[in-house]
Amino acid sequence: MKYRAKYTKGDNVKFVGHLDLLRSIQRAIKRAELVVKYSQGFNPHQVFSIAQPLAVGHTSVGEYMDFELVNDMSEDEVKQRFNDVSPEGIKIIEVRKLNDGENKAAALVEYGSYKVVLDKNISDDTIKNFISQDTIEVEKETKSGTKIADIKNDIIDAKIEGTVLHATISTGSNQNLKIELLAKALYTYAGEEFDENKIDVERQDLYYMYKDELKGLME
Amino acid sequence: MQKRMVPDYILKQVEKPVRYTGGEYNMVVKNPKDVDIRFALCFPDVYDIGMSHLGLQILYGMYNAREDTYCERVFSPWTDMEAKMRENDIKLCTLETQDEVKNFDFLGFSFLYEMCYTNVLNILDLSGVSMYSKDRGEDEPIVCAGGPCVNNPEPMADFIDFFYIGDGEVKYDEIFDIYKVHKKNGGKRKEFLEKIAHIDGIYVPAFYDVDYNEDDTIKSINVINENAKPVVNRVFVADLNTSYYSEKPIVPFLETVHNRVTLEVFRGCIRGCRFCNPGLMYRPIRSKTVDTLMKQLEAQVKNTGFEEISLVSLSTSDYSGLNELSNRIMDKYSKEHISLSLPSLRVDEFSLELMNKLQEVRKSGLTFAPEAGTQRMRDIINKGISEEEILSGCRLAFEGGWNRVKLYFMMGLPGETDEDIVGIAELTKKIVGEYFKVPKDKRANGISVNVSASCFVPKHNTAFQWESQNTYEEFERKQRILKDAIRKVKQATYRYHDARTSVIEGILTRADRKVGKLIYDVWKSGAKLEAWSEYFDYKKWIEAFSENNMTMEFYNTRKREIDEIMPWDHINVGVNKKFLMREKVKSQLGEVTRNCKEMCAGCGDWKTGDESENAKSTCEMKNKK
Ligand code: SF4
Repeated sequence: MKYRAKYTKGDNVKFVGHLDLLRSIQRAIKRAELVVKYSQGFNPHQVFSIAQPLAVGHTSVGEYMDFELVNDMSEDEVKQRFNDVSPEGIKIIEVRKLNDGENKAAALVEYGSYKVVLDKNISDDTIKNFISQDTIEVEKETKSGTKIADIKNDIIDAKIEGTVLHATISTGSNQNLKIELLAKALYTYAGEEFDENKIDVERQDLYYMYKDELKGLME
Repeated sequence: MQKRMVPDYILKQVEKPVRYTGGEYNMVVKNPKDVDIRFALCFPDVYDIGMSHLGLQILYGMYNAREDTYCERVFSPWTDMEAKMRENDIKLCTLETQDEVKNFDFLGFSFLYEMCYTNVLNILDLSGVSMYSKDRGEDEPIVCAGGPCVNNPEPMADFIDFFYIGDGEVKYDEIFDIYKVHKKNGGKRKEFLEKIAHIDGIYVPAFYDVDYNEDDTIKSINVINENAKPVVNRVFVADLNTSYYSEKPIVPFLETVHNRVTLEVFRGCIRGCRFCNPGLMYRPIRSKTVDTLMKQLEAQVKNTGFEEISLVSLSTSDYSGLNELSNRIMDKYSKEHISLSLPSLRVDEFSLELMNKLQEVRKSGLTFAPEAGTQRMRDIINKGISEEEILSGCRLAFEGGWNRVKLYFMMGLPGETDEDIVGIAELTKKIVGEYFKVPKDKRANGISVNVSASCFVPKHNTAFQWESQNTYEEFERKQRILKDAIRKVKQATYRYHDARTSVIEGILTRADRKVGKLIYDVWKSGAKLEAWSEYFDYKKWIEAFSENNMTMEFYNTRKREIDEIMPWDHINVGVNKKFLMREKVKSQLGEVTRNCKEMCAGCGDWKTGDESENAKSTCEMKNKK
């Protein structure tokens, strides 16, 4: 039986790197005695995947993993068993069984919503003007040096409440915008100095586009 | 939000921030207000190294099993973090509560290797704890140390309030009980040290002083506090089946060197290699039964979710239940995709068959440790293996499809000549020859032999403790000889180590108290993380010696007289000195001593507790006879 679980990466584990997190989750699954199916073949591995790696230092309340269990088990039991033995901060919020032929979360994800605590005051008017520009150009670091890129199409939505930026942006394997890059462009536009180590990022959720609408992965 | 020793914006700037944030599964959480004793346990290297030591999990679990004690971990910060801490005046904290170490009752170190001594001083400094024991105030932690190096505690004597000599499982309860009462009554730190000084295994260096002869050798080691004993006995666990083991080891997020279930199968070693310090220092020989091990494994696998089990000891091939144990493990766990690894197996028919079963598909490299190139030399060091045994082991391995071999040797051994060095290359050549004797269709394609020759360090408490160590120049000369000789064996590559680290290790392992000042000066000049080659700086040591008007030669190349008082002579490690002397003489005659399975060589009596004549020895090999 295939399952999808939505889980958190809390403040106390936000510095755990992607591969280390993966291993930690797999070990928790083992402790929970959830028997994950192994792939056939020369080098068998667990049928298990995580959607869209989260950057080290970010927290999240909307991460996803897909896995296949040998036994059929209720969603609640999977959640309960995992949460009983998972590290503090890595907790399942919700589980649902996947239908046959449903795409893996890792393949679906296209957008992510973020909550960013800023260290400077930027007004909502500023951000309105900022996103209504014709193009939003930023310097992107690539392997061959820095490049100027237009990120306008990567921003679905961005607004500010107090000192918190809420933004929904491209977050996928095809099209991806680092949230820090958006924040930096915004700071530059507002004439503020940017230090990426001084903002706090929390991912809220992940989505994909279906008939021009954002759709959540648990739907 | 969790409290952190350093603010997030700093953590974001350092390598592997997860080294400092804790929160791993099975980390013990207690409210510090609910305990009487707060213990900061420090393995003085970075997290990834420190967390790889089995001893840490044992001590951590054991101390925390006491309701009145909260044991927390602390490690060396990496240099990037240290710089940030110093810049922002942040003191070193434990991982668990992120509280400052300087407010704990105890700061306990495990001395893993000599090259971590400067780390110890750096940790004291970063914690804001007085460096020298004599300067520590009443509100500072009691600083103690145990671990593999403390059988010669002298170089660190000035910095440590008390040493714990021996297996950690034995005396901690007694010490904590005394401390608890002492603290309640508001006693002074010196009084506490006096109260524990009589306990076996406890060495309070401030209660001893050392007189020197004119030639700087030791004249006498004197007790200067009536509570201290003239000789401190090392303590050891009598029965490993009933002693503490960690049921819930911490599962690090970071991939450390040993991220797996690690179980010790037995302690001690039946092989009396004359250069080897751990082989003697973990005696007597005590095994766990297969049933005990299976029970302990089960709990650990269940509580960690690790996907690999590793059985450790100094020489796992010598564990009598190995066959049964590995079969039972494989039966139980292979279907759960949990693999078994057996480091330190001797290569023979049995072990090859076992390894074949274990790894099923991939043949990784095999390791042989002949230690010396000629039979004459192997007899001197009592490495009980003949050339024929080495070659037949290799032949079996080649026939079994292995084609990558690692060979470990040493150079600079007592009585060594250039022929023995060339002998390393000759033995390598013969091993390659064995490969070509195997018919082409039966062997794997292509052979590679990796030769590693480390620089011999005469260690305290071994038969070679009186011997001279080679000079740096001599090591280099021998490395050149070997390089030239090995070049003729096309299939072999030779990796050599920088001899300078071995020279310093050679000084520290047999050092006396005066060397403490040097360690301090070297630290003061910026030394730390010296076990990492990128940070080891030989020049700092040379400068410290010359500034203190001392010579390296006195400690490393000088041959000691047999009746010279050694700096560690007041520590009775259990292996008696007469045995070491006998072994020294035998080595000079090229005579071998048989291993403990064949015959007890009488290295010590290993009685615990009651001192009566007919008390039973705890050495299971001796008892067999
Ligand atoms: S007492 Fe005898 S059998 Fe036991 S370790 Fe010593 S030499 Fe070996």
